[in-house]
Amino acid sequence: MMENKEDHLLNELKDHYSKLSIPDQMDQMINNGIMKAKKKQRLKRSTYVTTIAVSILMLLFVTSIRVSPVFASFVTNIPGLSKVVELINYDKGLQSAVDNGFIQVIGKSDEHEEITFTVDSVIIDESKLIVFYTITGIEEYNYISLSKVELLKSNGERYKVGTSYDHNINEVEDMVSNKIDFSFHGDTPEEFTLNVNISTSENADTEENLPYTWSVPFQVDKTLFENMKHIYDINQTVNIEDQLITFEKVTIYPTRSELSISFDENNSKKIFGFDDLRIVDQSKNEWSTNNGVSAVHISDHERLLYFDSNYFYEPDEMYIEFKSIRTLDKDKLELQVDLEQQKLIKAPDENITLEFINEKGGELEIGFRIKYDGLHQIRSEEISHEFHDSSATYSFRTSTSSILSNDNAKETVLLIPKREYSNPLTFSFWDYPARIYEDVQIKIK
Amino acid sequence: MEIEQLVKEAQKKNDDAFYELISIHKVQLYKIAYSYFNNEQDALEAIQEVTYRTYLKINKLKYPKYFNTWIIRILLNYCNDEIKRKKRMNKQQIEIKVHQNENEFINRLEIESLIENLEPKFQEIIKLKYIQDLTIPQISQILEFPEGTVKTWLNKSLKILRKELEREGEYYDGK
Repeated sequence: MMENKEDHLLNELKDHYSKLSIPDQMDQMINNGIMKAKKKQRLKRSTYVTTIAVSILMLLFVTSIRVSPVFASFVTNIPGLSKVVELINYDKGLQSAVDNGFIQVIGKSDEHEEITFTVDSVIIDESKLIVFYTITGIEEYNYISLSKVELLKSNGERYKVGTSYDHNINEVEDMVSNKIDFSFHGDTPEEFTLNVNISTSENADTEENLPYTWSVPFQVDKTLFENMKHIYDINQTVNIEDQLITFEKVTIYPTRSELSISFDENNSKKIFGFDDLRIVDQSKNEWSTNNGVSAVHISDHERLLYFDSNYFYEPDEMYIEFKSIRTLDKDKLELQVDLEQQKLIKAPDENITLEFINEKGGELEIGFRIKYDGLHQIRSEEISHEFHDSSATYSFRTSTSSILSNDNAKETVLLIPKREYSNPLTFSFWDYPARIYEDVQIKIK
Repeated sequence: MEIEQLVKEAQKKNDDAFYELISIHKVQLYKIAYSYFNNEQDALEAIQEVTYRTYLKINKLKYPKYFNTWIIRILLNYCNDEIKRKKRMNKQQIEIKVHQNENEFINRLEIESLIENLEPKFQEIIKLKYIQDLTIPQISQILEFPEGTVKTWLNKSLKILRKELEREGEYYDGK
């Protein structure tokens, strides 16, 4: 058989690299690397204070160039807040809150083993608390991240909140600044204690939890945000191919807007979500749903959806708009896999296919490919982490997805525990790219 | 001494063991670095930097038997960051050397530039497979993707390369 051209070229390339000459300076470079590392270990302590001072100055300098005049003067008055601008620049509602001075300075910290965790400032209202923090004293680590976050009330009781923060491991310069979002409803205490754990690593494999809890108690001024919200009742029901969706009300807080909707229990389809959902004003300014938590499932047929806030802007007219819904017939919500024959025996449509089943370690890898209609992908996972066979229900933790950009498809690999299952396995869907297109606009005010 | 033994010694601050450990892997590391930067200077720089990072972190390696995958991953992180940085600084220099065999040289440039145009994850897989001769399980460990995914991506990369080569073929043969 004739060798393919790419095989031929790749083999030539391999050949080339196998003949690559190894320069004599190599050993010298290894020595240099060791010397440099030993020097760094010695110098660590003495350079510690100066590097932090310099980096704070740099940050102030860099950020003050590209922000609004209002904010720039605000920041120069309160040193250390400059990073806030960068962290919220995806959300124009929060930006305008900060422009209006809606931020409280805290400046409290805790230290263990030279690592200092500081709560710089917070943005808080009745719906949400955003904590801006800085970690310093971490020069010796390559990567750092928060491994656990807990918010306590003054009596030490755990405050029940939705928490979201960046799990990604940050590559460390001299300090890390980031934010933690807490979502809640009413009943906002004035005193909190924030507990965090920190992990360090070379890469995800060697991630190591430092054996301390950084604990920072802080107080907020409640009078600055009490009763700050606008409520608009809508009570309009939309009918899309006999599926009834009721838009109930919008509540606008300084940090975000909250839309309550409900689905009719007699709908024949399950609605996963809306595409291009946004709130717009009379001049087509829009507030999207891209911040943190974008939906809360109150029950099977009730949802809260979150948008950027326009509290400080107060448009004259407001509308809700979307272009399509993602939905499946309630009797097509199952995905069944036959492990022995390695094939799908039930699926909503032919856009999902089973690609492979492999054994790996003590687990089974099940690879699916989900085709999109070319419009856009779904950012979240499609397949739920709970599944059952004919005798029991199981769950699994890991699923990895990758977008195959060349052909509008996404590959998802589920890692499920390997054991004796009684065929077939049944999964359900958290979301699915089956759409009904309909441009909808609803007037809020 | 065995690798695992050397790692344990190096973790006890035995510099000779550490040196030995890097020496054993230096050729492999150099070739990977060279495949990223395409020049001797940057590849040597990478060796120094990876030695430095590895020295500072060796105590954090929990399983000495994974030293090889671990150090390759440190190298890949460095190479990727460095390539990004060079692109930002707009300093990427193309070094052209005189080659005895011009035909082979042109072939190599062609395939290398096609590989360079692949998505980063595909590039990595192709380089590890074809330049370093690593196996699918090894690649899957280094990149931390399931073997199935690595296989799929490898096939996909090859398919893209084939298509590109065919397209170029048409262009030249089409007259």
